[in-house]
Amino acid sequence: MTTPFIDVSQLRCHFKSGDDLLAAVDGVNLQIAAGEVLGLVGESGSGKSTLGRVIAGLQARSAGTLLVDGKEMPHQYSRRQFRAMSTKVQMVFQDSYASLNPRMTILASLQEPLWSLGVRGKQARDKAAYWLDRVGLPQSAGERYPHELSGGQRQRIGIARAFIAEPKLVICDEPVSALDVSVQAQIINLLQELQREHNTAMLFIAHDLAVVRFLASRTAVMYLGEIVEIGPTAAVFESPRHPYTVKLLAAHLDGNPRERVLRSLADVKAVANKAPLASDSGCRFAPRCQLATRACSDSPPWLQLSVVDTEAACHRLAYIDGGGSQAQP
Amino acid sequence: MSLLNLESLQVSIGSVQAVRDVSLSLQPGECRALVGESGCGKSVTAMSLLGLMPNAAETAAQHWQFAGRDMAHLTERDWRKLRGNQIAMIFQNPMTALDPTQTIGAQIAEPLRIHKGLSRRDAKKRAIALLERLAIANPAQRAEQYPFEFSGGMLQRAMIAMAVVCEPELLIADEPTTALDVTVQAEVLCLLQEMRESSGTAMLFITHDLGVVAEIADSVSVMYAGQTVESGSLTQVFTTEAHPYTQALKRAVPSLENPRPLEAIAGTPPDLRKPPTGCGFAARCSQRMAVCEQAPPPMSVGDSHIARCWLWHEDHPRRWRDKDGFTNASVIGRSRR
Repeated sequence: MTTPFIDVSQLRCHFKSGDDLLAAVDGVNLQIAAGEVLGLVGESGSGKSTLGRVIAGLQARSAGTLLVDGKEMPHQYSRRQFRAMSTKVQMVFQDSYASLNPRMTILASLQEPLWSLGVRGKQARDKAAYWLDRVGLPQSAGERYPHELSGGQRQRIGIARAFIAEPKLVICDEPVSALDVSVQAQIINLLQELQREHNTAMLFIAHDLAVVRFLASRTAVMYLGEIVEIGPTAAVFESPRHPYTVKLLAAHLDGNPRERVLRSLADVKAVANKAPLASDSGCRFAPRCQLATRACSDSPPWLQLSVVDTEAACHRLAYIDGGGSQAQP
Repeated sequence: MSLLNLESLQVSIGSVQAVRDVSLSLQPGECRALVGESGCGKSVTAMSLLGLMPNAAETAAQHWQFAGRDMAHLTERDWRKLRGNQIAMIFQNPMTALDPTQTIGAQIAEPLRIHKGLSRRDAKKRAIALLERLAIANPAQRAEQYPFEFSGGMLQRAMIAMAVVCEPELLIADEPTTALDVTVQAEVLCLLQEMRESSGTAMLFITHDLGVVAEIADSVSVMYAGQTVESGSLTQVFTTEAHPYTQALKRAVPSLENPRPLEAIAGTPPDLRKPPTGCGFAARCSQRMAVCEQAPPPMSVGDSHIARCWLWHEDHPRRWRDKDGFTNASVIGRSRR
């Protein structure tokens, strides 16, 4: 087996919150192979963005190991390490306006990643011009400033900037959720084309399940700091194992007018979200789970292989795999 | 008799013709979705319905009736009696729409005191009862808290409470679930549905999320570049989309059930400072014809199903079959696949 490009094990990222220790990411194991698209879904507060930022080196981790290309990375990077890392891993952010320097022209912003690689002058300018064209913008856009472009155009620049230094992995943190529906489709298609063209690995973080289903070959579901289910996208979406995945999919509205998903309040009632603490014992989903037993609140579950070749962290996996009903009483 | 009847609304703000021609009608208890992308004028339409346009805006309508009343020449005094009482609104961002210096309970009680003349204490009691109905735990204690102490989903429920507390005849919801997680969105939609069923309130639900529309609406109006381009019942608009924009919009959204290639809509919406003289969508339309240089009037597709597109003109070849007794929409829907 070849070594995965990213290999994360027992990764933790804890923050102080009053007297407690908030466990934004709590013991995550994850591999991303070269050229693979991994989708990461979950509600806000599930730690999916933090996980992305740790892998990109923007956030120091509290514990665990992070191997990039087989090399172990320190908890916190020095300037030099960060620069070296940024040639391999790049990020596309949700807020395209906040991620561009308002005082730099678009062309300068595009060249910046190249400058840090030592590519300068005409060579850098030519490459930036090529990428402007590649993401579908006119050359005249290069002379403009970020505020002069529309949200969709700025996100195209964000994408060009991430791909221009030819990284091995691009982490996309909700790249389309701030955009209009018709622009979303343009950006998603562009990301897919570029990913295939350059065979870049991608970690695609989103709360829109349909977008992840469309782009990702493997999908991980996060809940309160932990990966609760991971596997091939089709299997995760078609036969979800973890009760949380089931709930998440049930809440998705697919635009089919013949079939209304939400029947009554009792079905969908979301328990007030509790922040994950390092001191939690047991399964964090247990308070919202229809299948929870005593064991669920006593000891934490771990990822186990299911019959559909996905992995799910659930004490009741054997019951679910055995065809046990996930119907809500 | 319909509750709201708005024909050919036009709003211009400075040099921008934000709303060029919008017609809407709502029956009592009906939920109509108003679908469109940013800048298409859906929020401006909502604000006009509440009389909340800036002084610089010029508003005109051919016909504008609400609950049997002519709305075109209301004074600010009349509007104040109406707003929050007969027409109420749920805003997209509750954090900026609520007053950070007042308790949640006081803000929910305020419309009752102003419009229904309730005492402070009675109004507070009603507010707490309503919070309880909206599934907020410890409502009496929660009512004494300030907006910053609420989570996003709870704030949106407080906004809903504020809007429905006077049992308005029309509730306008401007993207009420866009900022929420899917599970919280499901809960808020359910609450709105229950409120609507129990009090018979009509609702104008503004959104760009077609999934939400399919879930909650009875009828749909699609807006593009300041105009309603298609309107009809939910099934008409979702199963036999008539306007090329509606069709393109549906193909641009990824689906969970049947993943298929996404077809993005090329180009951008027109600049409403200089709106095109012809069809607003023509520049991006794959079915463009020479006649699209002229502005299409709303044309009938079927029973109360209207599209602003020349494809539905009675002289268009596709409609010849109608005369032979074919049902029009299904034939066209098939021929496009």
